Amino acid sequence: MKHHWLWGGMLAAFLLLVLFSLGAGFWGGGNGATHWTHRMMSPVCHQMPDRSFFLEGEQMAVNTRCFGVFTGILAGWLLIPVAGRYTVEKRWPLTLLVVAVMVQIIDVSGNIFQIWENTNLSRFITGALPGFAISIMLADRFVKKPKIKQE
Amino acid sequence: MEVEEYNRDEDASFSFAAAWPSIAVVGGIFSVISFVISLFFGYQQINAEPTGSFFSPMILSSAVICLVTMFAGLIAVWHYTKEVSPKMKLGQGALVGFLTGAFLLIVSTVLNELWHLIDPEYTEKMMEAFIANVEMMDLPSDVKEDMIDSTAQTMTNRSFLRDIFVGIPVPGLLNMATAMIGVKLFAKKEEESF
Repeated sequence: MKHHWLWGGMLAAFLLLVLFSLGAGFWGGGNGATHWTHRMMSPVCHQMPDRSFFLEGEQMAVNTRCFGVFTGILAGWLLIPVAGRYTVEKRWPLTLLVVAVMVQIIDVSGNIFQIWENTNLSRFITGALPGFAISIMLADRFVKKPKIKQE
Repeated sequence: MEVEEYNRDEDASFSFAAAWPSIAVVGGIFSVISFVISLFFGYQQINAEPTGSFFSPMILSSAVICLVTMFAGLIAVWHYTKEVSPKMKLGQGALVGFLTGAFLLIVSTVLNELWHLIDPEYTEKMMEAFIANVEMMDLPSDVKEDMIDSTAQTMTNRSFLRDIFVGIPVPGLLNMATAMIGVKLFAKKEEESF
């Protein structure tokens, strides 16, 4: 694997991102709405209580869809050392990303136009898909090419 | 695309100073876009009759701004490869992405502060409109109270420096990820030495 420092650094950062998302129930010291993790996530998330998971009775710092995206990014990033070789010069990571984004758009649109009502679990899953796809999309950049012997 | 990623021995030719215009231009443009979107939906919320719909202009603006600003890192890398040098390494792209996210957040926070000089009652009016909408929602009263408390806390107890200091890591990190995708899309793979 190449760029292993970058991979390790980003892994630590994505892990922290997921841990911060867990909010007051994980970190303690205040209720969900006033917690520092809630403030930290406010630029990127609407943080509506009825669309968020609760941990230890406290609202998480992000809604279920954002939590899905962050968890998906982390899960995909963890898989890079294993999955990387299957992505080199392949089109499926891009296809996966496009499909995941389409599923996201369809899910949100269906809810906006009141065709169906999504749940916290469905929001989490449809969020996790594009997050996972973003990481997998980058996987080939961490794969070392085999050396070719010159004649 | 006639672009290629940096080779190891060409590292020195990556000028960090040369990346700043891309960071500033793209970060600046995206912060203005997010500020305008937030004002547009904000005043729409203020002037709309409360409907009790979950998809209020405020919620929509939050989702749209998040989606739009996530791609600033990718565009900053595209701008750099187009205008400065087609060569960029993955780590350099990540740095450009983080700084673009940070710059974007700082400028949009400054613009928000400036807007309060133009319309000092903006936050108060937004809060009232939001509460009126939540009150109309078909939800249990404790959930409504939580929603109102949570939003009131976020909107009222603000500090400029704290918003910037605490707010930078998340947009910075998300833009790092999209910037690395930008490197993949707009820069060629590094040549291997055999």
